[in-house]
Amino acid sequence: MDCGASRSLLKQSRLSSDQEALLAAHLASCAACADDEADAIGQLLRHAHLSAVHPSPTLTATIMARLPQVAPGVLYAREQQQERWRQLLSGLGLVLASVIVVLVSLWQGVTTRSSAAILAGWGGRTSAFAHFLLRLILVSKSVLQGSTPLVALLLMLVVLTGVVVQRLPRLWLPRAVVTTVLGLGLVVAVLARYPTSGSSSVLQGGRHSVQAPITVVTGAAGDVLSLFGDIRVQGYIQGDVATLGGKVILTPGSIVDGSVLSGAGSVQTTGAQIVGGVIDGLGPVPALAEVAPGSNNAAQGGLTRLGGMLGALVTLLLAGLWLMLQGERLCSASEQLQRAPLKVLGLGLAATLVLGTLCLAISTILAATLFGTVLIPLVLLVVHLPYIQGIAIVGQALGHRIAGSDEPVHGLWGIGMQAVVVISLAFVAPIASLVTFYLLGSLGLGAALFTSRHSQISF
Amino acid sequence: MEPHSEELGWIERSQQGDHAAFAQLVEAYQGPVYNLAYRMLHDAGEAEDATQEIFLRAYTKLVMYDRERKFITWLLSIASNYCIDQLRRRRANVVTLDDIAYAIPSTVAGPERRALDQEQRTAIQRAVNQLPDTYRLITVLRYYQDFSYEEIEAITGLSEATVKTRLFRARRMLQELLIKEGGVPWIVEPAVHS
Repeated sequence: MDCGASRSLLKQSRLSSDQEALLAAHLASCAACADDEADAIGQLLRHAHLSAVHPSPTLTATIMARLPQVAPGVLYAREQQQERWRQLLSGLGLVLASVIVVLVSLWQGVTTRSSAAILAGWGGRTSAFAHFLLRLILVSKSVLQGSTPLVALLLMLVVLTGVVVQRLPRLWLPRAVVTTVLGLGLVVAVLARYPTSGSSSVLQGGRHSVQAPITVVTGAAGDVLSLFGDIRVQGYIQGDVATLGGKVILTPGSIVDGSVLSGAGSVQTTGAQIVGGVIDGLGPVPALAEVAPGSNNAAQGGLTRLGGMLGALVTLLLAGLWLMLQGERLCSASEQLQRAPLKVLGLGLAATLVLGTLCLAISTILAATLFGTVLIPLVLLVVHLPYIQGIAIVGQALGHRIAGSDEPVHGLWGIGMQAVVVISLAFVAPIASLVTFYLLGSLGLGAALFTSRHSQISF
Repeated sequence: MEPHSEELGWIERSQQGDHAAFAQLVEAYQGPVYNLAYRMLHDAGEAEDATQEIFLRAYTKLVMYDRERKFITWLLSIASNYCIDQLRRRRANVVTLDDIAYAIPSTVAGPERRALDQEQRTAIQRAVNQLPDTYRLITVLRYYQDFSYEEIEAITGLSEATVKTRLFRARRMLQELLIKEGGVPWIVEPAVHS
């Protein structure tokens, strides 16, 4: 007797003695059927099995009347061709949009500096949002100045090409070769655009350095920017002054046409005049004034911490909402997470790396123009959606561990546990809190990605 | 597993655009497809529409059919995806349990026994209807359509371990749902499988 016949007999309420003997013999040798036999609910389902339902007699005719006249092969080829065109057009559209953004960013009058100045004019002295945007703009400039549009465009192109390459079924070059060439091209392009470490260079009328101090004695006709170098300025600067990992010293009588930023150092502006805003690492202070360094740091630090905590709280609430609305879809990912936590964590961290790079590239392009700057918060929100889902998945897995079920309410307990950890850490170690949050989010994100890759049905 | 020669002939001719051959495939397999759609969607009209769409999709994708697979599992994998999609689209609509419960014909003789079975079956069907879509699909495939774990694996693309885990969980959920319905003395504690 095979398993099918066994299952058929298991469904019947009465068996003849011969059938019983055959069934017993099969159950003794087949573990799967023996499990079924021992399974009360399964038995119940089988005994209550429903009579087969029948479609209407005209169903075949209806289907045949709707059948396309051409052969399946032709239909499939047409679909494939349409799909390729769709991908090509969407890829070209995105590349075209990137090129337009870059061209606009290079257009004189809509430069980063004017964006910053305009934003500062909007209410930069009081608006935390405007200060946040200013900070983002200046950080982006500091990192990628000189090659900002080019590097961002290259990053975008690499991502887009990668997507298109993955979609093309037949390519005369192996995908690995294409990806390697693109990656190497990107690295070479980036290295070629950056000045040599430890030296400074003149760029578009301004000054630029990596790991080297800059001293401007007679003013500059552009931005003065450094990575890990101090900046000392005297005279009239027709641009922004920004450094990450260094300090900025503006001598009395200096005038900065744009804004001033020190990413992790301090700003001395005594006697100087600044048209844009001043950001001294921990927080912005009013512009157009002689400012004592660090005067507002403590209050701003507290505000930043509070903002971070509120952000985490909102994210966790959204994760709870996600779980309540879509909990059933998260079951597979939750199972996967419990089954192979390290594997999904690795995948999640890799995804975070890609998302971070993409986010930086897009934000940099957007930060180049005033209009694009306004879109940055939207980009940041979109980038965080997978993490909200990730937190919900981790919550469900924790809930399952605690209560042994996938009920959404138990998943909420899991999200609550994460909330307690993240928010508690925010009081004592904000950075650790942030890292924990993204680790948890990446864990869930990895589980979601792993499940979607390994399941034919997108459960 | 190699499909038998007659079926293989229909498939090959259908791939060349022979409608008569495809009609043979529709005739042969409309029953399982319709039953799966009916158990998943709980509506005869919707199940019939779904069956049409599933066969149209199958026709379009026929060139991708792998002869190593059983045709029925390939076809039901299309059907499963379609039904899950439909349920997700439909989820926005509010449907009460009374709306989705339907009469289930009894095949057992005797009025008392039939009444009891009818009650049990309605309760069971209601409970099955409350299962999450993917759990319901696997329950239907296993207990109503009698597919083995390997066949369910081929249809859904899930691993055998996941299929087993989900079946186990589905049974646990069904047990809880049936007990919640109240007054079901025929429920017994299921054996626990890991």
